[in-house]
Amino acid sequence: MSQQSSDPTIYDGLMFVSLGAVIMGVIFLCLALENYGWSG
Amino acid sequence: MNNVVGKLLIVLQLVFSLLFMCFAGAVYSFTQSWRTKAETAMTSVAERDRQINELKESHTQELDARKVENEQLNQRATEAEAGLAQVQANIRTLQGELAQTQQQRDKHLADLQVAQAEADARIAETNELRAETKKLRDTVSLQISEIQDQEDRNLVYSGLVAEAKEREVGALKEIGRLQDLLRQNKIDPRKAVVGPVPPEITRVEGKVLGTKQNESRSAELIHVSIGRDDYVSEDMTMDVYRENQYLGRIRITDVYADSAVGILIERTRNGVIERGDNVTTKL
Repeated sequence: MSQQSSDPTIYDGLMFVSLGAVIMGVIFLCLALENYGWSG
Repeated sequence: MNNVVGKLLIVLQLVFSLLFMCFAGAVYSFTQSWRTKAETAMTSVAERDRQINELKESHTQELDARKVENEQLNQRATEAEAGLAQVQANIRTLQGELAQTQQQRDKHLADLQVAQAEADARIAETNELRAETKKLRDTVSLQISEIQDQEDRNLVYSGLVAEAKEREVGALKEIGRLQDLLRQNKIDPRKAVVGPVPPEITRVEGKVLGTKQNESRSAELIHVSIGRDDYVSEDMTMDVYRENQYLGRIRITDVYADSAVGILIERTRNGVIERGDNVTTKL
């Protein structure tokens, strides 16, 4: 069994940033739909 | 290899996540202004639609009014055309009447000129007739005056004739009386006169010394200033006059030496005899 390094890499950071970006996008989308009353 | 694919997927996930976030943020950012613009635009469109509807309605009303007015105008135009046609017909009729009237006027003018010429001729003829009438009137007046003179002369001559007849009657009576006297004295008048002849009674003139009515006031007695000395005898007639006026004849009834009295013969009276009038045995 090989010893896997537990140190986060740049890709973990990128994943984290991507998740944050998605969350922010969802929030913006919800806010936009709120303006239209969720009726499209 | 798996690592490479995973890394690529992570990168892709990052890229798409960022794009999603950007789009969502952009949508959220511009939605507010777009909605406001849209509502404003919708409000404006509604206002425009309302204005358009109002304008359409007003346009429709105006169009209806214009149609009604147009119909009225068409009707009026039709009536005006009919009137115009009638007026034109009347004008043609009046032109015809005017032409006839002008012809009649020309004819009347010609007749008037002829009548004027004839009237001038009549006037000239009338003037000539007036002049001739005036001459004839003058002639008639002259003839009337001549006739009056002739009548006056006839009257005088008639008086003279009556006087001559009276003298003739007196002379015949005197001749008869003288013949009776000659027969009474047995004297033949055809024999020659022997011895002195008394003088012939000549013209003797005297004056009226006075006048007087007789007692019965039926005759007027005239006292004259000539008598027997002037060869005045009874029954002698004398004429009395004053200047150029004949007054009457008297018959001697009483004879004196230097005066005589006579009776006025009434039928010969031609005026009032007064003292101072002339008396004569011959006129």
